[in-house]
Amino acid sequence: MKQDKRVLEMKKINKSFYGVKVLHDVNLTLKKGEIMALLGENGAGKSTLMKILNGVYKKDSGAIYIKDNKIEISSPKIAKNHNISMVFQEIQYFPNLSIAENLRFGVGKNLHQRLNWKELNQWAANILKKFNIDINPRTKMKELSVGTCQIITILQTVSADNKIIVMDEPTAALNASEVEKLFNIIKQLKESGISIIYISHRLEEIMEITDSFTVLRDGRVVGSGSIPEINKSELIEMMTGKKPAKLEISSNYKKSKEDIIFEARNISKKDSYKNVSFKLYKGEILSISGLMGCGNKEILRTLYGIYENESGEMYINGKQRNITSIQKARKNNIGFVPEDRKNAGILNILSVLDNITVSNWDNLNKFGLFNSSEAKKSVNNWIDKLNIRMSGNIDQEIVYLSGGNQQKVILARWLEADCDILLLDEPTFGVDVGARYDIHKMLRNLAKKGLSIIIVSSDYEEVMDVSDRIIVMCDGEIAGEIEGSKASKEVLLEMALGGCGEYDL
Amino acid sequence: MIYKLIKDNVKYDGIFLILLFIIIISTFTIISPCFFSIMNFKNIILYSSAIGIIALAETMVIIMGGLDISVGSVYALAGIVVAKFHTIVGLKYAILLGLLVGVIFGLINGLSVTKLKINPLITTIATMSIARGLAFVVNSGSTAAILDPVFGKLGRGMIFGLSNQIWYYILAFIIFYIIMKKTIYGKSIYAIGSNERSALFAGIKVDKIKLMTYVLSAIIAALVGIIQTSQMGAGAPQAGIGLEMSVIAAVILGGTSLDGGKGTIIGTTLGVLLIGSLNNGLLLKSVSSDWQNIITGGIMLLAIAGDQLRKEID
Repeated sequence: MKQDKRVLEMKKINKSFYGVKVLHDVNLTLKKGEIMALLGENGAGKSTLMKILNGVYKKDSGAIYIKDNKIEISSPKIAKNHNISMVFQEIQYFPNLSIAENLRFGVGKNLHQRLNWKELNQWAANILKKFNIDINPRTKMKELSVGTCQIITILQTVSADNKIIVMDEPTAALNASEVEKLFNIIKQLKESGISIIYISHRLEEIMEITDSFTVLRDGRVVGSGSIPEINKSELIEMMTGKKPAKLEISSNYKKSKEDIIFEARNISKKDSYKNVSFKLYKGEILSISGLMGCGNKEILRTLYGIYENESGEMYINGKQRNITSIQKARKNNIGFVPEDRKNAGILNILSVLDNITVSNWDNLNKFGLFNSSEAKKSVNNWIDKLNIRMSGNIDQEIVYLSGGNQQKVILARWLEADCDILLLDEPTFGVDVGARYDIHKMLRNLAKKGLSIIIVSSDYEEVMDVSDRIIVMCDGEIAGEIEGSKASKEVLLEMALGGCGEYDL
Repeated sequence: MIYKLIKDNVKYDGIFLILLFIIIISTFTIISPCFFSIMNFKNIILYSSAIGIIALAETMVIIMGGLDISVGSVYALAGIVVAKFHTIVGLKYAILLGLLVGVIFGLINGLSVTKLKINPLITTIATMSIARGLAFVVNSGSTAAILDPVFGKLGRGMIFGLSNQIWYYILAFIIFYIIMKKTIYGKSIYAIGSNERSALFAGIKVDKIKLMTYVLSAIIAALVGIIQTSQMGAGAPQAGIGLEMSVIAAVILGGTSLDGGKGTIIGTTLGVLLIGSLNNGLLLKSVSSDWQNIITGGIMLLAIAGDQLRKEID
């Protein structure tokens, strides 16, 4: 009985690139209707393993069994024939075509046949209905939010009768309610007997949605088992090989009038936030928390001059300042780490050196020329201090660095520019646990040295781990404020949902 | 086998360009006795200098992620404005007027791209058409002669046995090389081309730099147009038709990416000289200009395909 429940088995998989072994005798077993978390830091071998399963890479040795039949997967097409499909982190779809058409492409069969539009739309409507998604299948993809597109892309694999679906960071672009939707879909898939390999850095989600786990470290399986029998810190320990240390928050900022570095008084922006007032003290980490759409992201962008402030005043070191452009924000020594690292953070084809120094170029000017020897000196200093890891030297293009290291480069950029106030939107978005801990530790150290930091993060753990103080917003207004050390997820959620006032300090 | 050979030995961008260059020069040296001489090399550089100088500024625009195809028309308009107006306002003011043509068209291009967010291709197609039309209107469609001997020196004079135009090219090469390699302005251009939004968020004055670069490109086109008018002794409304295509071809051949962020001044210069040598060699062998076009196009495809292949293997 137990035997036929096994849908996939990967046995003793080995793989090397250019003589470097990236997978060592990796075993993985997936049962029918099981949701398995595949965990590991960046570079642990997760994506290599999944690409072998999908026929993108060829394994050097080992065997793959589907329902106890040995098979060779030599191309993505063969993987598809065995009903294995993959949802990549960077989703691909046709923005100018309708949902129905996009779903149809997922099926991939008989694409040259004449289409019966009525039938097609009916078929798509049924799929959407089955998963409780209330959108007209004729809607063009480009009119949907990124999160909905992601969900449609996942449904694409479902419409094609797949038995095994690999999801790589499926929630990376989703907001809280979309994550909820996705989880409902996943649960439905599980009930219909589909098995899922789920890759994510968000342990919170792993604990909630998955049944079992396999952890890879340096290309080896270091642990596997069932989720209810393990806790998060044990998982982190497996992934990193180190016991997770709890960050020590030694708040040493002073809540005195002289130490107010930034103050917002009754700032409002139509449809985003209204009458928001808060103070930021020198050397503190302040989180502006709340549910998606509560206005915190917009406030951050207003402070950096990306959005225009419509009413209310802002003060920097006690003096009123109008931050109407990014240039003005820079003149006031404000730095910004955007959430969308790939499109708004890194200068993708430029070197690590240029990426770190870019915001300080005006000061690295010597007789009108770029002072590259001084730039190199300070860049090497940041690479040491922030533990930025890369395979090449500082002339390496930044795209070749992992997400965590790219984020450290962006942090180094603002340290190099010597800013006084640093704004961070989702500081550890798409970053693995090791780098996440590094970044949190770094932020604490910087605050200790006098940098004032404002964080917006949808990750409650992160908010509680690093913040001295947390402001919670609800529907564009401040709902309450709490010390970081006194916060709990329940309290933060309650305030965010509108239980205002009770926790005011 | 060939893959492995390329993978192990070819490590540099544009290596195919250099290889092709060597092949072209050796071929013409063998088949044409007058090709390999200082005299002929001077000729190649002289005839490449106009396209070459404009291509330097175009390289900056393209690295920035933009495009300027109005250069050929601005070149013609500036030339004919000088020729037409030197008898009316005097030579000095006529030259200033010619340069002003560059400034105005540069501003129109730059402001349309930055403030109105119009695609640079569309913007500069429009200004290309406007400038060309004006070039015909200025002197009712006919050529305007300019016989001022002082002005003639500008394009025809010699210093140390080298034509002035070769000196201009050398000087322009050095200046643009330094700008792109050593200055903050040059680095900002690479940053904008690499990722405009990131550059903006990092605090680069994106609009200002874009505007500056479009103005620079148009001024350079106007300046070269004026120099050519001096060499010809006349400004012609149909001068430089198709010039923008040769310029862009040389820039792309030199390894600059149309997506922006990548490219070098040296690469562009090699591209210009390669096309120049090819045309010169074919001319020496009396190959008709139709065949010249076909061969030049073929060589371009070959060089770019080779470079692309190398990147894929990498």
